[in-house]
Amino acid sequence: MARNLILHYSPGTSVLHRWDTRCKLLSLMIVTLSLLHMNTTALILFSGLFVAASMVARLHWKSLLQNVKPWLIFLTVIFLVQALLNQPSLLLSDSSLSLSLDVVLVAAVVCWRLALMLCYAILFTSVTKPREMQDALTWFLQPLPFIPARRVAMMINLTIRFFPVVLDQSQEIQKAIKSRLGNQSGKPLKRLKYFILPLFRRSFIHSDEVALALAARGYREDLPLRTQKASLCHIVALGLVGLVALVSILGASIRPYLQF
Amino acid sequence: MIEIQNLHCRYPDGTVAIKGLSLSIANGEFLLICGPNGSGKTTLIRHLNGLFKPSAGTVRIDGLDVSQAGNEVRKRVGMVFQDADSQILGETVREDVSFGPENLGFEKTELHERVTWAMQTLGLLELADKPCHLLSGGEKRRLAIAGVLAMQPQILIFDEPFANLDYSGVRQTLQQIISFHKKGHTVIVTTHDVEKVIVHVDRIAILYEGQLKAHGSPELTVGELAKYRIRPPCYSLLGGKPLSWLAT
Repeated sequence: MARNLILHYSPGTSVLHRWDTRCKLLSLMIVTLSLLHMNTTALILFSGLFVAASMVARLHWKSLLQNVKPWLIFLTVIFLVQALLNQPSLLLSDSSLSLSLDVVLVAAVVCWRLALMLCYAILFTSVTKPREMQDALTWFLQPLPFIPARRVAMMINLTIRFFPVVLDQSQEIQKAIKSRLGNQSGKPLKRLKYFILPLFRRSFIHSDEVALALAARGYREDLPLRTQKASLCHIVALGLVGLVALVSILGASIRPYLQF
Repeated sequence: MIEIQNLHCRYPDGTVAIKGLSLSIANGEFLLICGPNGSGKTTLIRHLNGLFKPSAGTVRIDGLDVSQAGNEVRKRVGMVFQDADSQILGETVREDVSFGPENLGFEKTELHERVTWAMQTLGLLELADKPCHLLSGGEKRRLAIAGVLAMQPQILIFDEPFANLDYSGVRQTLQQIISFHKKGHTVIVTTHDVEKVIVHVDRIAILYEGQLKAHGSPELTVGELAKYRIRPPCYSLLGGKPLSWLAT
């Protein structure tokens, strides 16, 4: 139905689409890890970089953001838990229950970080072909002993590819519920039951079918890798991402010492 | 009465699925919407019970704007999905058929009567306590219809109702669809395989690349089908008389 674009590959010929997948994957890991240590200035910078990268990749980012809406519930829960349960008045069993603005701000920054991680993951899956990702993962895992690299890469790849399928299925089930007025039911547990059980059942059946399809189409683990040597400009781009991330983290950790 | 005026639908990826479609469907009419894969059939019918909101244009059911009165409209418009599996929500047959009427807020006695009646109509009474995932393809299709029928909507929409069914499954489903029409329901069927149902419909609407290319009685439109990549029925290819799939 093409309504749900989140975590789907979006075909294109942009620089990001053509960037070597191994470099892209490493960049994603660097950005995701460094986001955990960034201050608000760096978060603003990386938010801007995300918007710029989405424009370079020519993604329908407004539509993508619309698809991110369901995640807002998840982020809101995290925000509320962080903002309310870490309040000093609650921790000190103070009966006044006054809200500390600092704690609320910290909670907002945590949610901002998580939202950015999600956005970069969406961007990565949008500009990377599943097959290229599988090859890149195999390339990284192959040198490690006792690990069936291709099988693990295939499993990771299928998991990532399965995610949008599950999202699509969940939307289809929601439509089935809505068309029989299930959205009117005032019993949240019952609504959850009619949503979760069919979703699990369909997901398990689908995973069974995928396993059978793999076997039927002669899945092999001994095929040679199709990755080519990454060119210098791809590696330089990776280096630049690492440098910006490093400067952002160092800026955050040095700043307190610069304030006298 | 269904009134579709200048309907446009654009998907988030930029695909334009429906382009300025206008169509009226009278109460009690049996309409066949046909078109090749990707012509916008499913997208169109999902606008008829408010599952999709129009990018532009309006859809009205008995004067109600579908995009504003979604729940009221869904009481009047029942939809049987193409993939029966995605429509089945309950663990057992009875539980699934009860889902819709429960949401309509019926008392226990009326709920039981409606569910039993729907299961009986579709020949599922003996399977009432069977887990849904153990049903055959034909039984699942009948269950999907029963789940919608139990809500007793005036308008029934079937999305590719004959897909993946064997000969006897097609005949059973067709018989049920015809009986709903005879009872006065407005019936809309979408399919690319017109052979099975064309003899019984009042009107055909041909959809191609999101546009309504032709509509009218089967006699008038059957000659247009091949032009829009839809296989014409055998009787028109061989020059014989129209023949129902229910004929023995």
